[in-house]
Amino acid sequence: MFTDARSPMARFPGLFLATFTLLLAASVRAEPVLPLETWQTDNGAKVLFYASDSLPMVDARITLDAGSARDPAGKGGTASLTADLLEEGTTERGAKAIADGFARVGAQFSVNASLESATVQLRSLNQSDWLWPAVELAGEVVAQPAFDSGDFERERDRQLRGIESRQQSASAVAQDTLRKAAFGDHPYAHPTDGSIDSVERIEHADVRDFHARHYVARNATVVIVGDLDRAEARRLAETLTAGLPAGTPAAPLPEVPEIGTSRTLHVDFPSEQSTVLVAHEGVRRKHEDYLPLYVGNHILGGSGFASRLMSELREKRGLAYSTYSYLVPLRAGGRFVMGIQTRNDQVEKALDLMTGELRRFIEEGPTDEELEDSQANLIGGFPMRLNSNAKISEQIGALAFFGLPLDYFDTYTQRVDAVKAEGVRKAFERHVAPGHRIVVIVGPKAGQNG
Amino acid sequence: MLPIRRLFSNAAPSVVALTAALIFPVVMAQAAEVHERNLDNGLKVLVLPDERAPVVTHQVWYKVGSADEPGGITGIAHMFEHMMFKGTDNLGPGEFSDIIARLGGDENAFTGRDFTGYFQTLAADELPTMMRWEADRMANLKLDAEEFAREKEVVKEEWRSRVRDTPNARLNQLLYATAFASSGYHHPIIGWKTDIDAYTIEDLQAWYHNHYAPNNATLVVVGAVDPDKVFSLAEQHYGPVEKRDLAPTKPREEMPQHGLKRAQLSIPAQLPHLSMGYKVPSLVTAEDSRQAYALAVASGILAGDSGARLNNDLVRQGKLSNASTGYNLNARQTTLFTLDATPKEGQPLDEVEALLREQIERLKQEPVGKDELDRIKAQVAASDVYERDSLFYQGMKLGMYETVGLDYRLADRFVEGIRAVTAEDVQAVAQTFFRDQALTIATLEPAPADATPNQQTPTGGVDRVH
Repeated sequence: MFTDARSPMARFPGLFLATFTLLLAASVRAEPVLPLETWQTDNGAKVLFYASDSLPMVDARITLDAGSARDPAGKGGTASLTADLLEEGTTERGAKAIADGFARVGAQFSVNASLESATVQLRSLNQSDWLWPAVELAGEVVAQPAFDSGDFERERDRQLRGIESRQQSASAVAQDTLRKAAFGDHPYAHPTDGSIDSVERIEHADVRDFHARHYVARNATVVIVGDLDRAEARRLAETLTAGLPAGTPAAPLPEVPEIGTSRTLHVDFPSEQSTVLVAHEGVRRKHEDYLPLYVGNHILGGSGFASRLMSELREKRGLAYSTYSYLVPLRAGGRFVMGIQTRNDQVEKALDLMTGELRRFIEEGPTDEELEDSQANLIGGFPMRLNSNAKISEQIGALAFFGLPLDYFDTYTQRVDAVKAEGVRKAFERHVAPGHRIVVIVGPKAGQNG
Repeated sequence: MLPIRRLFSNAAPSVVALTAALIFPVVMAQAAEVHERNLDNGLKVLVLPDERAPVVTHQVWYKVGSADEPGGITGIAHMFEHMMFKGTDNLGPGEFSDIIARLGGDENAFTGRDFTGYFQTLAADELPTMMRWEADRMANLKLDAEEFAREKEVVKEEWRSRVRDTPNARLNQLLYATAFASSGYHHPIIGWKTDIDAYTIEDLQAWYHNHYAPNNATLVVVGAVDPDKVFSLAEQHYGPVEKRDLAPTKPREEMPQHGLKRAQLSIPAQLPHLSMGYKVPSLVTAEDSRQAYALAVASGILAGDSGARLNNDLVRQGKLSNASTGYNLNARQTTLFTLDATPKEGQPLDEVEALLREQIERLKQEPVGKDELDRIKAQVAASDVYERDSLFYQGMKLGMYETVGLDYRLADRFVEGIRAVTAEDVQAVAQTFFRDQALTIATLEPAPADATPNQQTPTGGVDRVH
């Protein structure tokens, strides 16, 4: 209900891992901000454990390199369908028995695929007669799906209905169009749920194969946060992954291609408001310029009301309810995106203003005051990024998935503090060329209205 | 639900209901105690200590929402909420937001049918700064005509994305407008477009004067704080704001419904959809609170999780594409118990309606099983612990209960209330309230975008009501 609709997570579902990692660390401390214990399960899954006894509960998640970027060629949506089918039945029990098994002990369980990964989440009370049945069941669901053919047909139909439903939203259509144009023939290019055509091509065997190949221990990271001791955490990680074969990690993804020559794509849509998205080059999450770009984006369009785009387009001109920019920092490359939703007859004006703001930013960089305010916000807001078990578990998951150092949070403040205005400007100049961009406009074509 | 100034979802099924569940837990960490103080000017202050992180959430809830709006200015509670960020006699437009941003804080605001709220979450030692400026805009808001003209355009853009271009949101508005005749739940939270177009600065001034006073508000603070210090800070910052005699709220009770109502919407869309709603009491209006808890359980039995009836017996059996329920336990007035469904490809909406009605009949005809009841109670009890992982949610629960006229202590008794519900209770509320005389059904049948040019564009128009 209160998630920020402008964050990358909302734009490119599945990128959430990236967005948050940013978040910063408090001050220099002798002790780590997040003391973690790490080890491997017997079959080779990486485990990260953070003990927290503030509430009598446990959050456990498995992140697998099994997102839509791993969909078989031409069969976009396979990762998503596979994730959805896990809860529909195992070799031991049916869907109802699975749901009852979790509900009976008050556990919450879900499996979701995103662009980069598939995530299995379990939340349970730590009381042992409630916790262990849930953990055992979760392990069974992940490792032993039945993939019954009736379930497969039904869930595939429902995924098609979901895609149709998505097409009712101009902003969803804009995101899908942009993703396709901005990533070309890269596996990042198709929507996470696939298209009508690609989902219709998925066969029963594809889902089985996908699971067999990608749901393996060496392709998995387990994060545990909560009120457990170390021995219990070890038992939890083993139980959760016991049924997974060791397997092998997925191969690295190919590099994201360049954007190429600038172009504008206009999708005709019966709306009163148009969605405009503009994609530029960007960087991968582990790039050395990521941090200055992050801070720069925060100033330009990534921090809501404190950002330039919001100030210039919404507060000073009333052109939009929503305008923003964001980085899409993936493992194999990245993009920088600006966006706005505005009345159809204001599209050109809004696009010109956004473009002008970006050019000015690349030419002049942020002011010292803007930079200081932004650093103050990132550093001062640090405690709130890690003030719940849910947030901590998400942050740790992101560290692990992107292969960032485990002391990332310990030095974060200093690194944010060390960013210079000229460093931000140069990073934008290097990676965001306003002359190489893709503009997507979704709304009625000229001369029509809604 | 909660339109939020920057981001909200207007059409989602009502919150609450469940998170629920069952038999047990002897577990339960001891919940911390809420501390309460009333200032002389009538502001109620609720403080819940939570020492897990050096962070605090500071929330002010006003007892006014869209349901309090008279005709002609619907949506003004939400428009006004936007204007609360436009400066005071002491701060320029957006300056409070800038202060919060520099401190690393999060802020936002939300408008509902029964409340308007403002909140900030940030480092606990910055609480005095938040109180200073939140109290400032309670008393000294500056309503500038130019700022208002621009912000009205922002709200229109918000309406375009949330309502005009979102078919299911328009269906949801039609359901409420059809179901409710005399109560303030008739019109949408964001307002009718023609009303949005016509607000004046005087309307806003009157709204501010009539509703924004300490004696119409509740202050909620949750986080790493000492209650006594919070009380003395509240006294210092909010204490000087003067109490004001406010005109009593008109009852605007919903007149009895005496027959099934139907409404149809035909606009460009990809998928048909059916929404139905029965008029039911909330925890505020129920003669016996047991009825409200039983309705919450009924919602859980039907759609509390993937193993609940709608998903298990309909979706999983290939009979529907999607189905859900909604029930807002915390509504201030008679509310709707809703069922929503999307048909399968080519399936007529009559069939969807018949399938949902079968489920309602079953609730009336046979007592729910012990297993079903137990699993809901287990989920509710566990969720009671999970909710404590979120500072904001803990504050929201207190603010919401208090603002709709329920003692905040009832929030802690939710688990108890659910646990006391029996199979007979669920059957009894189904028989009492799930009757055609109290039912409204609204359907969305997509019109082809090309063949039927939309004629409602300029104003958002009138969706056909039958």
